[in-house]
Amino acid sequence: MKKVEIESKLINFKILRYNPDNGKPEIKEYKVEIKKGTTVLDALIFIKENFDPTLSFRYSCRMGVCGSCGMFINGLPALACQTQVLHLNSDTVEIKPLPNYEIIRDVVPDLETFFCKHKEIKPFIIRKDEKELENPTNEYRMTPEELEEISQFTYCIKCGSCLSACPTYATDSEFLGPQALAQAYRYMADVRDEGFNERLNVVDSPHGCWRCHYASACTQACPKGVDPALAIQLLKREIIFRMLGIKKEREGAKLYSPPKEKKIREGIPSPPERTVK
Amino acid sequence: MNQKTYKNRLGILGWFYGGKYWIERYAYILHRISGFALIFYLSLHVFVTGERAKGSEAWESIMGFLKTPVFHFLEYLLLLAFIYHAINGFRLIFLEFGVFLGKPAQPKYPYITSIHRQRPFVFILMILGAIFIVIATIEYFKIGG
Amino acid sequence: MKESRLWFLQFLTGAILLFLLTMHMGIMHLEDIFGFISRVSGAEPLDWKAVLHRSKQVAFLVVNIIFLGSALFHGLYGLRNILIEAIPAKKFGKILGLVITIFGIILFLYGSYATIGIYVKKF
Repeated sequence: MKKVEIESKLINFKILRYNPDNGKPEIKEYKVEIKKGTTVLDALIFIKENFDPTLSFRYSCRMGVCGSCGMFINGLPALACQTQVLHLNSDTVEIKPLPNYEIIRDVVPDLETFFCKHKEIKPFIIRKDEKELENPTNEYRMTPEELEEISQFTYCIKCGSCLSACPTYATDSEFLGPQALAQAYRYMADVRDEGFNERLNVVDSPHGCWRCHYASACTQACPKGVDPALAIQLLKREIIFRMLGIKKEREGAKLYSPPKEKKIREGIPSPPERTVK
Repeated sequence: MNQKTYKNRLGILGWFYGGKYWIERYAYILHRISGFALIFYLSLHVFVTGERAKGSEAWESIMGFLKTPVFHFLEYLLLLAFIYHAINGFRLIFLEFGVFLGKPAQPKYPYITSIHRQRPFVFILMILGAIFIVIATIEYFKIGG
Repeated sequence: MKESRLWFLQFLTGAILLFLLTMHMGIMHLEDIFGFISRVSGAEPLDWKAVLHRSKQVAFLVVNIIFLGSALFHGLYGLRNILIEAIPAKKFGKILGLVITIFGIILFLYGSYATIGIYVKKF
C-alpha cells in the first residue's frame, strides 16, 4: 500500500471539456485543495458543485464495482473512484475521456460499440438442450477446480479501460477487443457450456483473437485484476489445440442430482414445525 | 445518438505510444518496427541475391554497388533488428501458447497478473540479447582485428 | 484459409527462421564463429567463388528453398497483419490478402528460379 505523508495539497486539475453544440475539445484548469483520502471522483464532484456546474462525467457506485467512472487519468486508464489524487504524486492531474471511444460530452465516452462487441461473442451459456435452459430442473455439475479456471475472468465490470489501453484497438475498429475476447474465453472454457464452435466463428476471424500480440496494456489498465491478456493467450492455446486434435470436443457438464437417500448424522435435531401452512 | 460525438481514436500513433505502460508494450512496438524493417529488406534482398544466377559479372557488379560504408552500416542496423525480433519472437512463441503465464487465480489487490509472472523471462532474454548484440557488433565491425 | 491455420504457420515458420536465419546471419557476418563453413571453398562468404561452391550443393538448394518460403510467408503475413490493423475495412482486407499472396508467389518463384538456375547452369 502506498504511504502518503502530506495531509493536503493544492492540485491543478486539467480537465478536457467538450460541448457537442459548439466547437472542439479544450482543456480547462481548476485548482482544488485536496485532502488525504480524496479520490479523483470526489474532486470532480467538488469541482462540479463549487466551480463549474456544466462539468459532465459518469459515476454511480463510487466504490469500484459498477465500472461507470472509467477515465484517462495522468496517462493511464483508471476508475476515478478508485484513484487517490495524492497517490498520483503529481501537482497536475490530467483528466481526459477514455481514448478509442467517441466523446459524447466532457469526459463521457460512447460505450455503444464496446457493448456491441460484448454481445457479438454470445456472453451466455449455450447448451444443446434448450428446454433445460428455459425451465431448469437442476444445477449443472461444476467442481471448485473447474470454477477456478474461469473465475478470474468473471470479475469484469465492463468499464472499458482495456479497450482504451489496447494498441491494436487504437487503429483497428473491427477488433473485438480484450474484454470481448476474455469473456469469449470465460464461456468457451466453462465446463457447463457447449457453444465452443459457435463462438469460434466470431473469435477465429481476421479481426479476432489473432490480432492480439501480448502488449498486455489491457491487463495493466484493468482495475479489477481480470487479466484479459492471459484469457486471450489461453484462448489461442485452446483454439490451436483443438485445431491440431490435441484436445477433443467435449460435452457440457451433466445435470447434478442430489443423492436419493438422505443420510442424516446422529445427534442433529430435526427442524421446527412450519408456521406457514 | 443525435449529438455530434467527437472521434477520439489514437490511430497509428497509438501503436507507437508507450507512455506509462510497462515494458511489454514497448517490446510490442519494437517488434513491429523491426519486423517491418526486415520484410522491407527481404523484398529487395530476393532480387539482389537473384543476380547470382546471371553469372559472376552480374554478381560482382551488384556486390560492388553494395560495399559502400552507408550500406555496411544499414546492414548492421538490420542485424540488430533481427537479433531483437528473433529474441522477442522466441518469447512470444511461449507466451502465445500460455506458457510462463501461470494459471487463472482469484484476483487479490495488489494484483499479481500474468505480466508479473513472465517478467523474469523478459529480463533473462534482455540479458541474452545484450550479449548477442555485443558479440555481433564486435564481429561485424571487426573490432580488435 | 482460416485465421488460426495461418497463425499456426506463422508460428512454425518463425521457429524454422529462428534457426535458419541465425545460421544465415552467422555465415554472412560473423566469420570468426561461423567461418568454418565458407572456408571450405577457400574464399570470403560473399565472393563469387564461395557463392558458386555453396550453390552447387543439393543440401544447400533444398534448405535455401525452404528458407525462402518460410521467410516470405512469415514476413508477408506479418505485413498483411499490420496493414489490416491500420485499415480495418473488410473489403480492403480481402484485396490486400490477394495482392500480398501474389507478390509473395512472384518473389518465391524468382528466388527459387535463381537458386535452381545457379545449381544447374555451367559457369
